[in-house]
Amino acid sequence: MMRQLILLLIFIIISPLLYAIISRTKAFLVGKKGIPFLFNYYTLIKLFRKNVIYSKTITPIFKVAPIINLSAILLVLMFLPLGNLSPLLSFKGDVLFIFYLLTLGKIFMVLAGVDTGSSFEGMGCAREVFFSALGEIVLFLIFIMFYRLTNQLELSSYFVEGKLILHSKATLIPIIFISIALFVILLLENARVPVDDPLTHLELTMIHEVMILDYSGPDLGIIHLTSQLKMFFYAALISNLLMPVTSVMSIVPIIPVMPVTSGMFSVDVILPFSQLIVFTAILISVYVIVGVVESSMGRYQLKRVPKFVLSSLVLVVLATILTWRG
Amino acid sequence: MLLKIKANQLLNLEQIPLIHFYDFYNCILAMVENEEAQIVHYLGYLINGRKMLMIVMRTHKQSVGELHIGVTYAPTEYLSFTANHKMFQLFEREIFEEYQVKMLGHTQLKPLRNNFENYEFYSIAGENVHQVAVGPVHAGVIEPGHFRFNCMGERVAHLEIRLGYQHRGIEKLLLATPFTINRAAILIEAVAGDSAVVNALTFSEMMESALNLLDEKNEQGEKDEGEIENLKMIRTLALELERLSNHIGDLGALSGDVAFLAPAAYFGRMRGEFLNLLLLLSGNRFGKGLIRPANNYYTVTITDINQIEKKLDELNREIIHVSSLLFSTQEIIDRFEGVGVIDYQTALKLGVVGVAARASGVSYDVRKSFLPGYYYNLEQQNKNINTKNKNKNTSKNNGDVLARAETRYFEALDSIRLIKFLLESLRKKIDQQQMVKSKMDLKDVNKKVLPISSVVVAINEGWRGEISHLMITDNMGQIIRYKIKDPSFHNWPALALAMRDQEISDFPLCNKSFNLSYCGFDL
Amino acid sequence: MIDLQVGFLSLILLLNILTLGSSRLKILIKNVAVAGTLVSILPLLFSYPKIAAASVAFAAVMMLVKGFIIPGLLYFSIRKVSDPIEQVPIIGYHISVIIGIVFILLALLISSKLSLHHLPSSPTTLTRDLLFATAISTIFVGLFLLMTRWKAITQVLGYLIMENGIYLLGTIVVGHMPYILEVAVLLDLLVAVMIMGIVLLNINETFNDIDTSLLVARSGSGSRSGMESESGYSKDQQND
Repeated sequence: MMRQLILLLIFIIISPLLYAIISRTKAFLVGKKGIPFLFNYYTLIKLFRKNVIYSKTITPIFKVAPIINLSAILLVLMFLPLGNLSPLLSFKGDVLFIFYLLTLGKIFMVLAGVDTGSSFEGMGCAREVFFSALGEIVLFLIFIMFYRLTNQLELSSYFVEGKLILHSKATLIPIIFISIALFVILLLENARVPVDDPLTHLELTMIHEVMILDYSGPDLGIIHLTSQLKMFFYAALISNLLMPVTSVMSIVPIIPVMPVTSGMFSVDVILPFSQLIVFTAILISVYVIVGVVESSMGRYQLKRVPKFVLSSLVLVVLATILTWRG
Repeated sequence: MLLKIKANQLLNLEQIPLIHFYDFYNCILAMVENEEAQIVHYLGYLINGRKMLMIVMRTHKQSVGELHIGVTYAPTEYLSFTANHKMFQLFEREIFEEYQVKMLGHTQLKPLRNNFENYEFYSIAGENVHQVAVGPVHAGVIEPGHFRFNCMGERVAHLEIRLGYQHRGIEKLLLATPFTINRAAILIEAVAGDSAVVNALTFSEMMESALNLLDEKNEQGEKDEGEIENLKMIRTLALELERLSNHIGDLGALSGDVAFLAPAAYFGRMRGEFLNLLLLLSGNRFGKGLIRPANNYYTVTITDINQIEKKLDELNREIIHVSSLLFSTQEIIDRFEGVGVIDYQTALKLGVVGVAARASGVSYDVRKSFLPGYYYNLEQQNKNINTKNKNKNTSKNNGDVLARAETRYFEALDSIRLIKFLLESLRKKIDQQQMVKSKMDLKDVNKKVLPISSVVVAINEGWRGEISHLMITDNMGQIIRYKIKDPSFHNWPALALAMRDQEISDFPLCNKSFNLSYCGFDL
Repeated sequence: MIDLQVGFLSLILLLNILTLGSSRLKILIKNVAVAGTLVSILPLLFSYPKIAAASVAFAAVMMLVKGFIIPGLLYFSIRKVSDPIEQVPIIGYHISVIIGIVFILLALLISSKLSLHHLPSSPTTLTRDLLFATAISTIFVGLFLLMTRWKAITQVLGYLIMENGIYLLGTIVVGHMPYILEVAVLLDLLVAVMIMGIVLLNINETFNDIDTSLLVARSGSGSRSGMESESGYSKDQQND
């Protein structure tokens, strides 16, 4: 219990550092030096020291929304298994609870965006809600598939001890498809290219940033921290999914997949510490891949984003088909 | 009935026929309808206490441009031209604002620049229609301008652009104190910082023809043709460098707007390198202070020429390389294609000039039609600009963002070719001191008196499009009106029209593809 | 070999669905080329331990024709087309994709009800079902493209996809097709595509566009006149 708490705190503290990896990768790929790795910490400290300014047209929702968002994501993180270690909290049906928590945070941010009364913030909120609704379908389908495979409704049960891949019938290809679909959802929920450009200064094209245009000072710091934690959550989901793959030798698909329960590479024998190292390595590579994807693509026109989400839906459906009957 | 003149020709006000307003009106309508004339200037001025209207129009006979000028007494009100010919829209609003001449039937007769009170926005009534007001304070640090969209959901039904936030009253400042060339040149370069070279060039050409400076004899009593030619070559070099750096900067900004970060970074760096070449020529990165009437305060040495040539070769390869990345990525082409379309007929009707016009198929370029400055010599040597795009697989000239981006790319490559030719020619003119002699050293240019009762029209091709200055002096040699017309004056309505029926999230892309000047418009 | 077989089949399914959702002709041609390559290699996988040299040779020839020659011909014929984007089809892209998914599920349901024992070396029922489902869903996707798209190129591609599906179905039913039959089919396919390519070029030259709806509307008139410019401004014509 203590160990998991400390681990969670460590990951919460380093998530701004991980977020900077994306910017560094993008800068590296165009030949620039990029921001220092600790840049996000400096930004957070600077923002928390500032005064806050509220406009005259807002209601208490505006003041309260960042805190609700942050607490929602912190609570969600307590359910997340890290590196095959079981999480802090876990109960039957917590998958749905996580979903609703994430949506709760999002709803409050959307309400706060509409609260300011600015027309393009309203447009940004409309886009945000639309795209999140599409993304939710895909996420739900993924978890329905996990439920079918393992008959469990706890998030920890999917990833702890690699139940999903080893003890169920899921083989390599569905896992790859699901990972790609989750990656698309990561790009969608965290407003990265090709869905939205986080570096843009053009308020008519923004989705997330335009909702938070009116925030200042500590509120803005909380929002930054929340977005970094959210990115960590989705990246950790992908890393959890890909983790058992490395502990099983059969990366090469020529050799048929068999559950490995004995021998030196047995899952039970791998020390938690090495699991953590593998987990962190995969996590960092997910961030790097986000940076690479951002540098190599332009962003889509807003009306093409549903097709992008549809492609991840297709991948999930195919993965479901492939794991239909063993 | 309008007098046919040449650009940079010194005219006496008496030479221009003062016609009755009725004839003036009908003549203009006839020219617009029958000869497809476009406006270069249409302005009012005050002489001897009477308000007058002057118009300068251009027509083309087989891609040779001709200017026509006419003057009349200004009525208190008349039936607006804009009702039938939209290209007059902003010109008439300007005359209304400055001289209170009323144009009947002009549906948008509102002040143009001093417009912070009593400005009614055009609004559409309806259930699903909402207004989105953007600016003048934007989320990024860019120039101020107010854009009022009438939208249905995400589709724009109508866009209205209100500018004037950077109105500094440059024309009034020019006339506020006794006119000296040095002071005027500094003010004119400040109209729009990114067009400093072309504005200074137009001003210098105007002053040179007004004061007949290039015919001056030096101490031996001979005209130094070689120095004059060197002067013109260096000026054209600076102009093309300015054009190049801005086109490349635009391509980078367009890539940045669609979040394609690699070309944005590369083009940004390349623009900096071109500006550094201007630094070599003129001591500052925007070419300010380089071009003055009959004077050149900076010498060009052989090392400068070698350096510029070497850099150009390098950058030429890089531009082709990065542009092939930009124009072959299918997603980016998808973003650019079919967005912000101005078709050929609309471009002609609105009087669009510059890159935007050429991208819609209207092939008007001042460098080819009016041959100002050294372009005349280039034309003689058959080295003038190329109006046909070399690559036949791209650039269909259908007036969308892609066409404007490709037009900029081809013009940039063409500019590099021109600059290389100019450098070769300059090399042949190196004298014993390893530099190109072009200092005319006319120390008393500031003491010259402007000719009385005269009119001069100077025209040039800036990187945005056709820039024109008009100067009118009275019978004591004082300037009554110095009019600066930036190409953005023609093109802002085109942007408003291009956004109709487009997604509102494409607006920054359209805006950047036109890349119009806020401060050049506001003066 | 389970993973590879399942991998190939799922890739083919994925490509089919992507073809349903794509509007750019060049991407469509690439999809069909890759799918054709995969389809020609698939029988080799299914007869893994006993691969005859003849079947390898045949697979290579088929890959060459389906993956390079025919797509190459199609690429060549659309280079002259002015507008390489499909118009909005009768049934929109998103719905097409969803219909494609629904049909794959239906096909799986159907195949689980049939019992197919002819397939050599397919250890799991999943692979057998998947093969059948891929085959008939590919035929369906091909037919769907033929029916709902406007441009002649996409219709040719639909025909090609249908042929892929028929070949897959043949692999299931017969298991080991006689080569002469397959070579004959391939030759037919090649000739058909060449004829379609020629027809396409003619349609393009006559109408300046490969939109087949024009064929209905314009069955009497000749070539469409381009835009003429009356003025001193030279309107840059498209130089082809």
